[in-house]
Amino acid sequence: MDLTIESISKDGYHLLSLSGDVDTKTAPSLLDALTALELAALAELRIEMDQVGFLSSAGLRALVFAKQKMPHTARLVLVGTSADIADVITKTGLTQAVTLVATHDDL
Amino acid sequence: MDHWDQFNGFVEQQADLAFGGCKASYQLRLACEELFSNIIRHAPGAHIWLATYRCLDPAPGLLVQIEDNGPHFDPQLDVPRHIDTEQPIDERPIGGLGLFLVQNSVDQLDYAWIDERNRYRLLVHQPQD
Repeated sequence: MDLTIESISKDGYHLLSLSGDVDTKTAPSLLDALTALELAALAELRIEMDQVGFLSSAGLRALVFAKQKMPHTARLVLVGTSADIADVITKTGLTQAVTLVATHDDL
Repeated sequence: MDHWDQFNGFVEQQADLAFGGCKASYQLRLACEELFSNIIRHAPGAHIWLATYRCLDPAPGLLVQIEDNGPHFDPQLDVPRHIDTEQPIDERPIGGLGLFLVQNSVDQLDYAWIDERNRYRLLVHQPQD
């Protein structure tokens, strides 16, 4: 399955809306979208995940890359992550790097 | 990457048929995707064979067999990989997650070099509920 990415600058944060699978084939496009942002200047990056059905280690590496480039005080928020994907994030210890919320209203 | 979607789609379909799209389906799909990715990285251009088997004994489950005719490459799947989940994210290595996820997503896993092929077998048991 392909991955579509919509990148929108919002008031106070940047939003990436993803739809599809983030796997070895599609993760490079996520990495491209992240690289295109001024990560070092972002206070908050939200990634909408509710239309993402699958996330492999290639996608996790893209998230780690983004968090490592962002300021220490910045937040990387995943919105609407499925239980299966949240389990993978927990298993790999990345919950210290990302904030998982069900909806934007939870922030 | 020519047959990437077909390979992963087949595993997803078979896992969903066996497990009904539950967590076990996702984990088997994840483990296979990570192995396909590993094969493509270490043996670009290799032929890949994929088969699934429904198992009944000693416990119901689905076995996936993946073979490739790339160079002999033993990923040492029997050596447990650990991730220091307390390590600050800035110090985390960017790699090493794939085989960790393979090992932690299936119930049984083995590798063999047979007939000039790398052969991987992954077994996920039918969930008990």
